[in-house]
Amino acid sequence: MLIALAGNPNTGKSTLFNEITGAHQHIGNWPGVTVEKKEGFVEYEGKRILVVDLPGTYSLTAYSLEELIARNFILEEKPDVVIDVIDSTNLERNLYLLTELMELTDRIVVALNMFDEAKKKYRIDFKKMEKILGIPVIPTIAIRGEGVKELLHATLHGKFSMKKPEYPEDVEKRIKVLEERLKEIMEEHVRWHAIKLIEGDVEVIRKLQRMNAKSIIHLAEHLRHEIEDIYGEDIETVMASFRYSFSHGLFHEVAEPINVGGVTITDMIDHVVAHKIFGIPIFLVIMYLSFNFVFEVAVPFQDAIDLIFNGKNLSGGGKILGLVDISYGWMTTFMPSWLSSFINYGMFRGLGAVLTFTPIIMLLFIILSFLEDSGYLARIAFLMDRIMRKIGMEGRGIISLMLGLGCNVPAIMSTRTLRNEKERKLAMALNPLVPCGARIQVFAFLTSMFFSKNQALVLWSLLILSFVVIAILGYIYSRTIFRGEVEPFVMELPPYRLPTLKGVLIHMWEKSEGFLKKAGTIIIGAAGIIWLLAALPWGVEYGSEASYIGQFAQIIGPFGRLFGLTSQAIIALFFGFFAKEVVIESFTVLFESKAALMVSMTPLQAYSFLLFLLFYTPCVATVATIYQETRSLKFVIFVIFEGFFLAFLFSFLVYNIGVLLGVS
Amino acid sequence: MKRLYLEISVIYSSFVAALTLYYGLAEIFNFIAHLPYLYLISIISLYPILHWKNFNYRIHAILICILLTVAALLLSSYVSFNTEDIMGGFSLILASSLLFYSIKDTLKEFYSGLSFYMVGLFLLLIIGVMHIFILLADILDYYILCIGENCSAYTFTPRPEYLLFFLSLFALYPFFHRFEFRRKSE
Repeated sequence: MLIALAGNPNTGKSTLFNEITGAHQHIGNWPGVTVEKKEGFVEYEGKRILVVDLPGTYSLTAYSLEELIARNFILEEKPDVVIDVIDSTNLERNLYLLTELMELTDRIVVALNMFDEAKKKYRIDFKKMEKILGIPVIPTIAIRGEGVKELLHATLHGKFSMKKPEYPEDVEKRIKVLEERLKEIMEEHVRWHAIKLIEGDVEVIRKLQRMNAKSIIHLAEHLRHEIEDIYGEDIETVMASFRYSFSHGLFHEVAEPINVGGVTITDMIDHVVAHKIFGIPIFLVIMYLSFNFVFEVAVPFQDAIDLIFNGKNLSGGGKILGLVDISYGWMTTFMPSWLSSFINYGMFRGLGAVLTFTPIIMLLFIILSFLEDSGYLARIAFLMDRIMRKIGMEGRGIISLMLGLGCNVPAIMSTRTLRNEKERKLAMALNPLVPCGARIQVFAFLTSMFFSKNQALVLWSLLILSFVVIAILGYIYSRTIFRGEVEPFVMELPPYRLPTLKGVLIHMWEKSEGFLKKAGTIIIGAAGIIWLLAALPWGVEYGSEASYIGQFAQIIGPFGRLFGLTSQAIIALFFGFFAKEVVIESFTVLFESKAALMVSMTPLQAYSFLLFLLFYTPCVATVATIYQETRSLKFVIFVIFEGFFLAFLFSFLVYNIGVLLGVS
Repeated sequence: MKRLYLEISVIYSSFVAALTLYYGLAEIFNFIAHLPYLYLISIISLYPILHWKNFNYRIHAILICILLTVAALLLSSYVSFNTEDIMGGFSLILASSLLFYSIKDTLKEFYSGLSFYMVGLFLLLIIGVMHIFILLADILDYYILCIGENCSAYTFTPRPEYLLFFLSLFALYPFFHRFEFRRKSE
């Protein structure tokens, strides 16, 4: 059996090596270089174990001889176990090398050396660390020989089910692309090679050149530039900062400082934003400020787009014609007026309406990207995690809920990372209640239509309500139908930094692009269908009770009155099942003007409608994904029922209490 | 000298905190500046002196408080702020709480105090920047809506957040100055 001792310099590695091997050691040089190589052996439980002391390194790049020797030994000699000797008194700094080792091999035992000294600085929960990393973690005091037997026992009998650190999606998906290509030419350490290629590691590039894999090198170069463009920093800084984030997050999970030396700006900000009293109010205020900014700053851009598409009636008489009117007038010169009306007032005006609230979406994503890139979004996840832990739901489930703010479909898919089936189902049951980006867009549009003031407050209240409902349901579910043991995990906490404008804009575009594509295809198509349903059968007044859509509204109208919902609102909800953005299209097509739409509901009715929209069934894509992930029709029905139940409950209560109080 | 800078910074931030608290309450309850309130602010600003027995530069601190109060009185006689924004008021009260919370530990030269001081000021700066953007958007929108119409010039409505933004800029001094702060347990 072969064991390698790795670790930072001055971690007591050599002392531990001496303790393990005793007098059975040999000192020489590594082949071809003058770096000292120490080898020795130990007999343990009848087995002869060869131990190699690798040179002390801080990382595994290709810059120094020591680093190359250490990583090449692991790559080529394939030790059965690597013992990472960590100086526990500098735990966070030492964890960086561990994250790199974890990319290289699955069989690692962590020796938390100088554990006695570390106790003066922190309380380290090594059992938790073991559970989080999925590898044995043994406290040692090498200088006194304490923990050596446990260490050897762990190397022989320890459980190795390592949970490897993952990079953010932007990086991870590019690593996967490269992995797929590398699998064509190698079988071992594929992920590590992919990561190193993306990092531009000269040794790995040389190795691939020798293998004549130029196309893979070019692909890696291209992917590297993409990542650098997104983050606005060179690749080494980007990758190192993610590893530091992991180390920082792991450190915060397992170590409670009693007395630590230097204080960074990140530590100072974290001290306040993760504070048990101030943390949540700061989060709520930041959210409110963000929404307020989005709504207020978007207004001139929205008005400008509205003016371009729809023109305006001047107060002194006369009208500025918009593109829709000009286009309609032009098209009627060579096509039937019904067709021109369909194209311009059905689809073109629909496109205008969608574009009108594009500024809101873009600003919203600029703010979210800013919060994400600055490192604050990770703290929000950390704060939420802390609250959710108290109510019984914890771990990666929180991340999937946060992803739901973008889109419920990838959020549902991300629950695959949860190892516990119960926790996975719990996350999937709660995820559709998180208002996705599309729903937030609809909320933003409708609040700007129906509420003349306090718009940010309305949107803020909807989000808070959804989080409160999720928390309560999480509490109930995790103690009843989805009861089970929950896995701890590392919440990555990147250091705070000022995001680059380019990085924020790239992220904003990546998120908005999907919506704009939808606007150009599905939403415009849906607008056409809704227009036809409102105009057919031929000859009836557009959108009247005699039209198909009017007949449908008459059937469901009495039911909607229980919740203060107008027939148009119910029709919009119906179409919202296909894609939430279509709700906006439904409204804009069903009403001939913005003014008519704005007076179609009172603020109380509008709020009741928003509550219904917040909770009722997720869109068809989300429903399909839930089925795909669970293969359980029963679970899908449960999720839909849960949504409708909450929608009916809140909408009914708010509307009727509002009416009783005379708010309407 | 170091101690003098620190104590003056604390008194100054205490004044900013008191003024922020005042405008936060004004935005929630929608009242405007009255002299008694401003006198009250000057008294609240002296809280660090009353609270901290080892305050070395009391006379300087009291003089600064008097100066700031006179400036506030003069300003309030010329400018009337728009104070109707419930959530905006809560935001200001939170920033004010962070600043007040920072005082004790900042005077003891602990990092924890500086942390609250810094985040409180950052919050005020963020609120200020946000309102400056909103003001610019408002001006732009006014002129967009005026296209084709006969509109008079844009009327500027001052908000307390603009004032607090500039006041908090000055309070950044101790954060950038290399004071030697300590961990609580050291």
